[in-house]
Amino acid sequence: MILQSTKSIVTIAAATFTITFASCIKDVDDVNLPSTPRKLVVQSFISPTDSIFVTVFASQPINYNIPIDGDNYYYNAFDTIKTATVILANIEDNSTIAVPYDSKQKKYALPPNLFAIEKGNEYELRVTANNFEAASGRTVVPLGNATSSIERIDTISTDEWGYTEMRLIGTIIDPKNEENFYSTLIYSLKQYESSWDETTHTFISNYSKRLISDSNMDGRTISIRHEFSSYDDDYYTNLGTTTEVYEVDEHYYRFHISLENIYDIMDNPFSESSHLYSNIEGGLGVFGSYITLNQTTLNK
Amino acid sequence: MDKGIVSAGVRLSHHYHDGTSNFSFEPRISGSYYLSNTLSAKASYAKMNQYIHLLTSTGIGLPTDLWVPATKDAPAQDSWQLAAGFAKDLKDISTTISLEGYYKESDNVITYREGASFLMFDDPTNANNIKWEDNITSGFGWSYGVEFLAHKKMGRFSGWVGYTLSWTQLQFDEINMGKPYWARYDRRHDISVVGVYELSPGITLSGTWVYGTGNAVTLPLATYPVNQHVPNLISSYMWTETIQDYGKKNDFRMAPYHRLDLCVQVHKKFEKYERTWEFGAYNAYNRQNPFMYFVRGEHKHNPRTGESTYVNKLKQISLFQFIPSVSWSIKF
Repeated sequence: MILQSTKSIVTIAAATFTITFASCIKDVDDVNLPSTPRKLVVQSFISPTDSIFVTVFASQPINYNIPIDGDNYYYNAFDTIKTATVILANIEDNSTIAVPYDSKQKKYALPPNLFAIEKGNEYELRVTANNFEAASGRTVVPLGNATSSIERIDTISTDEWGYTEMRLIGTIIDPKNEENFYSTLIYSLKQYESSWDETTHTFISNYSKRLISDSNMDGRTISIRHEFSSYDDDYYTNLGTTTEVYEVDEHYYRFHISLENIYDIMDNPFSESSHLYSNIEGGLGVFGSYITLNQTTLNK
Repeated sequence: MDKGIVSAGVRLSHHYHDGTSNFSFEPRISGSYYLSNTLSAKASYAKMNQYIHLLTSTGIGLPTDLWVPATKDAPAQDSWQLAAGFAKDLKDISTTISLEGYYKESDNVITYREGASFLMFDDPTNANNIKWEDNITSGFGWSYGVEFLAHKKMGRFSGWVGYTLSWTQLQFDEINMGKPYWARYDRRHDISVVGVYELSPGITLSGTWVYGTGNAVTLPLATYPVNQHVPNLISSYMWTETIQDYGKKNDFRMAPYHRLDLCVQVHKKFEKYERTWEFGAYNAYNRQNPFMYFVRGEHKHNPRTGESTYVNKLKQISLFQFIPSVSWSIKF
């Protein structure tokens, strides 16, 4: 009798537990899920001295609960749009030029001598493609009145595994009464011979970028103290470490600052969403400009 | 009988933190005027300060609300509210019906900065040195709405029906490109129905049904590739990252929340005490109210046809579905 009562209680408890905690996870099917159109993703940074490159991609909407072609899902994400019309316009004199697609570089490219990029001028990039809303962005090329110098590299620490912590020391003399932004870049190029495909592969190593604003430092000498890590071993051939200092426009600065913020939170599931800055109307991406103030190759 | 009543006062509050002392002057006034024996109009104004802030997350994931104190860098929330309405007594059925509108503005409202979180995974050993105020930004909020209430207070059957229609928005210069957006807990429709029925002197039945519009959260809408700028000479060696596009802040509504609670109480009076057995069912119709959402990519391959599909499935986790309860209590 007692055994039967106990069995009944256990049965009732198990049934209750099953009903209570069953199906705690389910597909969301009772809300209006967003349907997002694909947008053009346009990215270009122009400078008076460098070739003009424009990359054009398409965003991949996360169409919740709608199956898509699985074989191409990952490849589509990095598929350049080759048939867009890319126009670069000088707002000051209304001159324009079409930027053609370069299939070797997989970008829209223009050599520097075909369309003058001048300091202080405003330029507009217009991109159109079938089945996409037209995208455009504007930038004002920095005046380049700042001067920069690289003084030295300090070694902070080094370990037996080949990792070295270093610090680049330099200065930027900021012009007065202008809102200025700067970027310092350090990178190494390395090579290795692949036994797999018997070719030489080149890659970027020790990449480090810093962004500087002259906020609270207008007209003064801004110290560059750029710390970076360097890793060397015998397997790779070090082709040299280069440092570059740019004066950049606000769009360049805000894009890279927001990108750094996103990199910092990528692995944190509790972080707030972080938007990548964009000055592209009708699309995503960025159109910015820069002036190279200083370029130094440190060692080979 | 007095035609009208006015209550006015002032509250002086003080807050001290880290060497900073703040006094807040908080006047408030309320009044009611009897238009007839059974109909009255009322209005009120109040100024308030709140010395703790609620930090809410805006993603679809685990809700991580945090209460933090007002500090020098996160001053007390300062708000004022205006309300006005009517109340009508239906004496023959012991019921009061009221309709009231309100408007409220709040300053020094705080929220997480973009990319911020209350947990720093990079260096958990450094948690004590993290200043939470560096992760927030302050702004402005406003709320307005209309509340309806019908309340039967006496008789074998009693209870109330309440309905609130409201809008709550926030604006921060650093968030959502400075444009206003819905607060997480912006509850467009809020309904509560409560009923208590004395079946007999010893048995009481009760039921509660609540409904609330779902939370406003931020959902990733698309992914796209980006590159950092590098010199053209090395641009072909640069890696490409995939970034999520979130669209407008809190533009997505989770499923609404609703549930029914039922209860039977069996009372028995003894000489020196009263005993009550209560048998209840929380969430009687087993509604799977969403606690959080997450995205799971599902890749399926059909070996027969060779077709491959990929789906970004939006899934929800629910807590506390049907929960029966039994309680025994004595009152003496």
